[in-house]
Amino acid sequence: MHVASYIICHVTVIFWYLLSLNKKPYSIVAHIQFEQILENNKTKIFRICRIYAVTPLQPEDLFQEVVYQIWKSLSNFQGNSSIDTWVYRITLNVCMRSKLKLERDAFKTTRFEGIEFKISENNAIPEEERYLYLKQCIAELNEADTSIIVLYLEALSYKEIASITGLTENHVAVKMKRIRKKLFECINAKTR
Amino acid sequence: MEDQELKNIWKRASEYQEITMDTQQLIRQFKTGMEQREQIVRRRDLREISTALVCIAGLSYMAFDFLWSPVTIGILITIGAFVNFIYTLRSNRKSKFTQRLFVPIKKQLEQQRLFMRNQSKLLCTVLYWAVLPIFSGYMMIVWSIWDIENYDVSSLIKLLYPNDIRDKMIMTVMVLASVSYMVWINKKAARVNWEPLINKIDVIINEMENER
Repeated sequence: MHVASYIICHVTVIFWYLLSLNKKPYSIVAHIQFEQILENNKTKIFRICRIYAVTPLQPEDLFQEVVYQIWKSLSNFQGNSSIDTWVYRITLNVCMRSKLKLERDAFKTTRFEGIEFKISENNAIPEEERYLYLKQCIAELNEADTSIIVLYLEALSYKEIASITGLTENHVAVKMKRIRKKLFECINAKTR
Repeated sequence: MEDQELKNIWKRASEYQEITMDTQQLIRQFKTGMEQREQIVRRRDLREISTALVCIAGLSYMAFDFLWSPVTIGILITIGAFVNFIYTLRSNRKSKFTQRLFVPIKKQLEQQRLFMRNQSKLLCTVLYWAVLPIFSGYMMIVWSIWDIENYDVSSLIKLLYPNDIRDKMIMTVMVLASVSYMVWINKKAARVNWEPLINKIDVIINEMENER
């Protein structure tokens, strides 16, 4: 009886040890990087969030969710892509997923006090009228085209857009030609 | 309007709003938020497991009372169905792949679609993996004995057991009504919650794949 319980204890300990080997250690480096990543990417994340935010979803809510998901995913960053590509992927995936959740009435958020949004004092003129036209015209595009055009407006190359969307570079180029035409027609009609 | 002009308008838009972040405070809040989310999952797990254990314990007690009678087979089927029910629910929880938000958009959409299809399938087939096994086990318990007074079982079981045809019929109709409702509500959930989203994701993936 004693021998049996002794063996069971040892087998259990070895089993848990083997299980723990599969878990990734918490990366301290990743933790330190978090602040840097946010500082470098916060404006671009917010720009994209503003496009995907549709009532009652606020850009601030989306931004918070993206920041939270970046923090959660940081230990999984393996350097296979650039940090910018990684951030863009998370941002667009969160924005698209949140819109889908909204349709299911499942998007819930709580505001974090660690993030503060305020109107810039340096900017005398509120928002450019042309930006509003651009936003309206992007809203007329479908979901797939929206994700491609925001990356294009972020001045990314077709190669980078392909890596973020999961399409081929050629495919992105073909699509961009059509999207750009549609977008310019829409903006020109509004500015005329 | 030129391409560059459009990109400038886009970039200037972020100058309108300033974002300040207290990272330390944010991390503290994230950790608390994550703990809360995990606690919700832990509580739900505990609820499900304790319910199953109570049912299994009650049924095992009955099985012990009815030892080697036709009811025992019914009880064993019902216990097995309960265990399978809990296992199926737990193994179909939110896929870890849908949480991988750092993969390319198309891949993430495909993973979400796969998860949603599985959820929808699970709801639509609830009749086969949950309702039928539990129902058949239960019916075996109800219809296999007609002389409960001849069994050496506790007075509580004797009191609750439907011994004549009228009681057995009433019990069967009631169980049938509740399992029919269960099947209907699950099919409705699949139709209302998951199918529109699956269709929406199908559309987005098609838009991405198509050249036009």
